[in-house]
Amino acid sequence: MTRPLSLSMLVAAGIALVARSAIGQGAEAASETGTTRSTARLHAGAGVHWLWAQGKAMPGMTLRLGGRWLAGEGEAGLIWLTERDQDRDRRFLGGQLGAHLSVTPVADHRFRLGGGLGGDFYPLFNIHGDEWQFALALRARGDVRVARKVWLFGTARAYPLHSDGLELGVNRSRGNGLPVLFGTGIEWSTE
Amino acid sequence: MTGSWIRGMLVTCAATSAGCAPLTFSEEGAIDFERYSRVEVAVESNATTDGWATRYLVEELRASSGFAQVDAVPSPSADLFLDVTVFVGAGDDDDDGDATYASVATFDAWDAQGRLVDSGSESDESSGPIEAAEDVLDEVVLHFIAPFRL
Repeated sequence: MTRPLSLSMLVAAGIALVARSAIGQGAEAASETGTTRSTARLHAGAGVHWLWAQGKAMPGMTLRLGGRWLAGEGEAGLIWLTERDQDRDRRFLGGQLGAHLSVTPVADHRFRLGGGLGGDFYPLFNIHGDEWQFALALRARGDVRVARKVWLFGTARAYPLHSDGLELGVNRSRGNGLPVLFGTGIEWSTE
Repeated sequence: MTGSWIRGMLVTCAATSAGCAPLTFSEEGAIDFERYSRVEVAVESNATTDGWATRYLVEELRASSGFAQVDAVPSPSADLFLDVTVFVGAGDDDDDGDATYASVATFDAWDAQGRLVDSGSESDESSGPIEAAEDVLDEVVLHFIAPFRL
């Protein structure tokens, strides 16, 4: 039970870093304009997404908090099998939790493109209460504004480090596929 | 201009949906559950002395392990004998002043010829001695979880 705790600490540290960064950017902007008022430009977003994994349904929610350059993102979703489990009459597997820090080098009022690093945690609590998998995730994200506060986004992630029982790019029969997990979603943002 | 962005995003969505990646969760299994399908379980625990720990482990192994048959001692048809010792320590106060009980389970699994098939130890902690014993027995069950590839 100590490893999920470590993940929580990582997320907390990330959020603190993001908030500090955004406040720093705001103070810098205030300094440039000669004002003394602190104008922390901290943006938040909440959305829903779908991770496109073969044989699985993976809907989830997303949260994003950050400034122009740096943002912290969280994901929480559920996992169902869309293909039958040969051994058991089981469809629901558990959840997916993600926490990522990302930089957004390309951004204007209509488009954002960035990437970052984080962790994906899979508590498979419908298999066993203590069964879980974990991966270090490299993640890219692109956003397109479709309305004043609504963005469509796509993500692509790879797992350079992962626990033994988590294989991205390998199917049940051990055949190889693309080791990149794509996601698409829609976000309401304060930006 | 906005229309072209939307079209672009829809194309991206379509492309990603067509490009579903295989993502597999698996557990190989600690032992050969086809060879050792019937297990006899005995637990010694300092948390309780009324056989509760053995009954608890039997129930949990029946629910989640790869064994086809799980029984408490004696089980004449068993082809594996699982001996577990659970030790729950005295409660220590944590930073908030709440008692925390550390627990350790050591286990050995023997075949019918007396050969050691598997062994190990697990540890956990909880807010009560019984809960600490339950949690560490859950870890033993997790060790013997039924293999899956999903």
